[in-house]
Amino acid sequence: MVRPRTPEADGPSSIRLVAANLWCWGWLLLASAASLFLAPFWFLTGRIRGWSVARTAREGTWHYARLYLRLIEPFVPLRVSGTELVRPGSPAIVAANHQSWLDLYLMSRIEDHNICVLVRAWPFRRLFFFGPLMRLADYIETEGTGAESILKQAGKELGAGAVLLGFPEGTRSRDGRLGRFHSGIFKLATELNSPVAPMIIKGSGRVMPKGSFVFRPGPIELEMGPRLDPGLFAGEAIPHGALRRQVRRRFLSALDQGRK
Amino acid sequence: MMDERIWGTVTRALAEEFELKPEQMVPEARIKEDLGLDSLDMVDMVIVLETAFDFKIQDKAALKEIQTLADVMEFILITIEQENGQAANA
Repeated sequence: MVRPRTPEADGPSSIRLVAANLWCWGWLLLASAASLFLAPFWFLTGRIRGWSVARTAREGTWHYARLYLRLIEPFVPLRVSGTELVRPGSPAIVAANHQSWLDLYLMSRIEDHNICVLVRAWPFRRLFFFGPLMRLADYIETEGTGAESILKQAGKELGAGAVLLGFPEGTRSRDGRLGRFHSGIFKLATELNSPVAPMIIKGSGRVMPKGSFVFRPGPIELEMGPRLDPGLFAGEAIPHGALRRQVRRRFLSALDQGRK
Repeated sequence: MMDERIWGTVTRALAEEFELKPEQMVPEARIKEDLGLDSLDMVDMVIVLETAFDFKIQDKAALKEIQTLADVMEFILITIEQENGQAANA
């Protein structure tokens, strides 16, 4: 018996899938190669402007990521809301859910270009293009670094007006379900008395899931939620734990996943 | 059974604080590998257990030896025993 086929069941047509992959991978290679070629000129420009190496690298990364998201819009349209909540010069810790490597490019939708990412150890060592760039941008390595050192670096960044971006799940979700949140960035928020802004990402795990190399055309939504003040949880036995749970509840509600 | 009550208190307190699923709370569950708790969570675990059982954990260094939930349970039983011993001597 032949069942009627629906567009949802079929997914994107083969032609569209091939076109999307040629387009998205092609632009990724071109944009990355062009950025690599232009990097010396960009750093020279930064020097002339009196920027630090880290600021120059962060500005460059932001523009590169923003450009790439624009280039792939024909196949991966992006819907953004609430990003005005993280304005330049208003330091905060942004907590994002993590489904895909594309999530890192989404940081370019934060209006502030001075973004310092909290990163695990392996990307510094294994990512050919981004590892050295992350070192230049003074991103904070969260594994194998002492808690005091991380706190000091984070405090310095927030004091200088940077936005800290972290993925509290610690790894990309394989099934789109929100994972358990680690306490690290919430501890930083309570220790440094910095607000936490939830950056809710929907759809990136469908477009480019963990472990896949195939772009599946479709929309990505990015919603920046209102900031949470860690001072609200000062009376709790474990203030950063209470903050973590509250932020996670916001994600669960926004992702429509209920509890767990 | 007292042990079951203590087990229930331990698992409830940890599951609530660290947002773990009830089915994960089995004695052989490894704290780091299976439950995904990190060093910061281990520090928080002391506060969670102290709050749940209303006592002060003196031997915090011993917590570093803990590998599984069964170890946590054993640690709590020993601590309660010590607390009761101290109370009897006082």
